[in-house]
Amino acid sequence: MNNIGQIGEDLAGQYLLKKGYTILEQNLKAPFGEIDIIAEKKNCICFIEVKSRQSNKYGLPEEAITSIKKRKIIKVAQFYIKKKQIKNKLFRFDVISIKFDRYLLKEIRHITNAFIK
Amino acid sequence: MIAKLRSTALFGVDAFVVEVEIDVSNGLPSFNIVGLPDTAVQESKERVRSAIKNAEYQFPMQRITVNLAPANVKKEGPALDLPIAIGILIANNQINNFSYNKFIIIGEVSLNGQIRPVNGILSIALMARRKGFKNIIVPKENAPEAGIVDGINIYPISNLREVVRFLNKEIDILPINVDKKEIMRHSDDYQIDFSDVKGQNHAKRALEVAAAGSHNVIMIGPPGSGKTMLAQRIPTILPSLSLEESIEITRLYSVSNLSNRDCPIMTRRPFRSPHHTISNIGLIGGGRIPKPGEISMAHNGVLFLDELPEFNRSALESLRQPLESGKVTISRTLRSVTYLSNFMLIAAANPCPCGYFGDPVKQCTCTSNQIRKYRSKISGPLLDRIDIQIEVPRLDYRELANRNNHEDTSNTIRNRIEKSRNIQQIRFKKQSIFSNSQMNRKDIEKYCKLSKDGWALLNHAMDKLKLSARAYDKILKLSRTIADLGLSEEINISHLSEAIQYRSLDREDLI
Repeated sequence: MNNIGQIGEDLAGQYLLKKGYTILEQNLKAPFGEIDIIAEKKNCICFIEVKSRQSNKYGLPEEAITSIKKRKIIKVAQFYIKKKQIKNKLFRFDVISIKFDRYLLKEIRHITNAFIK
Repeated sequence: MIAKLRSTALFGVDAFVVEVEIDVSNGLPSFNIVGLPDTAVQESKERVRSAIKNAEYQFPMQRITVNLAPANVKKEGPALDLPIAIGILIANNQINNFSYNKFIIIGEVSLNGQIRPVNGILSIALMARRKGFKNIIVPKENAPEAGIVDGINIYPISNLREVVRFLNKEIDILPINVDKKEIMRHSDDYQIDFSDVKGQNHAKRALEVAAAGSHNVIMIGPPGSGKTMLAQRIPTILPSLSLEESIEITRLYSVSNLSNRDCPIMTRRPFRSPHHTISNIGLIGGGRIPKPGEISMAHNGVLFLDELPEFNRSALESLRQPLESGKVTISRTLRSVTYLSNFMLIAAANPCPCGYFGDPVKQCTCTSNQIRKYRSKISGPLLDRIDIQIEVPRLDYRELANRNNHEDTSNTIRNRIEKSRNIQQIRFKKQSIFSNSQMNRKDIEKYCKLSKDGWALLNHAMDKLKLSARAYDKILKLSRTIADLGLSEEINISHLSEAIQYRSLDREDLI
């Protein structure tokens, strides 16, 4: 499973670069949580959670983000903003959901503004 | 940047100004509303977000804080959706040059950006005018009702884009114009008429007297004798509603979302007939969020309590104060609400539990104990406030079928009543009361003088019929009204004897 997750995150990174984003951080870890990718485009910093799935048997990939996870992401985001003293930027929480068929990429979906605080 | 604009909220029947402040700043995207919003106002967030997006404007992905001032008063209902949406668009510069002082904005938004009507718009418009506001932006369906108020511009709108373009001066909207005279012209458009009731002349006469002097009535009779039918037609003989009275009623109905949006002014006197299982709160008003009760819905109209003995004692008890003062005050911890409730009370009851005591055709099956117990339920302080007691017997079918009898129409009766009301208006010009039923001891001594024969008759009746002291004042008041109806300055013997007839329940040797 971790393997799929790792591949997914790499694929997500490549997708973002192709779309003109700058990758600021990958796998940012903090004591109370982590964020998969932090990317920036046009003055907007996006905190991105990547979810990979083999099948839809256990729900859509984006549905796997629980409110606990959301809270953690928000906390890490706040921590990052404080640490880097970021001012005058817009912020966004995104989800990139990747569907695999066996080990082959089937679909990438990028949901912007997936949730707010 | 902070955007500010003004809107309103309701408390009871009255509206108050709410300052809506919107702050959009950098930070993690969030959307919070503070200022004691109730659930509906909290849910505004979802409606506003969808509406702005669907109206093709930008919804800022920033930290949005909405404050509804004053911050310690609860705000209820979805009417603040529109001002919040507009505030957000001002704050991120999609609306420019907004003059905070010029407008009051109110409306509920749909997810697709359409604007929906709100309750209580008449109270809102009246309050806005009183506070000196010159313009209100209201949902289109509310405009006819708000338009009754003079001296303020009512701008009707139907969707979010329209409001934004109007405020950005890209389009023009004409304030609504309402022809009040035209509306009041339909003021006596009742579908029913007193002449619908065949026979029962005694009861009709009693109701005419009641309407003339604003006296309360109790009708006693077997099932099917026409008590309800008569009661329903009383509003048709009461004097026409003045514009002020109309506005009073409309405000109450508007706040309870009972008014008809197409014909927004209530031009007919209300007739309310609550079932006897009604709760105290349903009857008088109140509840956790104060709402007007049946007595307020009957303001300037008729409250009909059918099967009076079946109503619970405490509900009837709580009627006393409003009957006395014409209003009801409901207190809450922080504030009180006062609802107007000046109504005419018409009560109906059967003569006994089975309903046929005294009936010439059907046999009564009650024991005298049962009858006594039943009748005692109609006693007490409530009876104290009912001036006229009449019996409404069963009608002979021949009377029903008779087409030759000429029945007075409501119009005819109303003319007589209006004349007698004028007399009362002049009589009580310098006082705060307006009808004979409201006279106190001093007024009775002043206005209800009898001739020597009159006093003799009255005393004789008190003795012979064993009338209670309660009856005494009432007979005098009633004879004053009867004399007024006959356009007579003096109260003569025929007026007096008619008045005595209306005290049938006071006889102490009842059965």
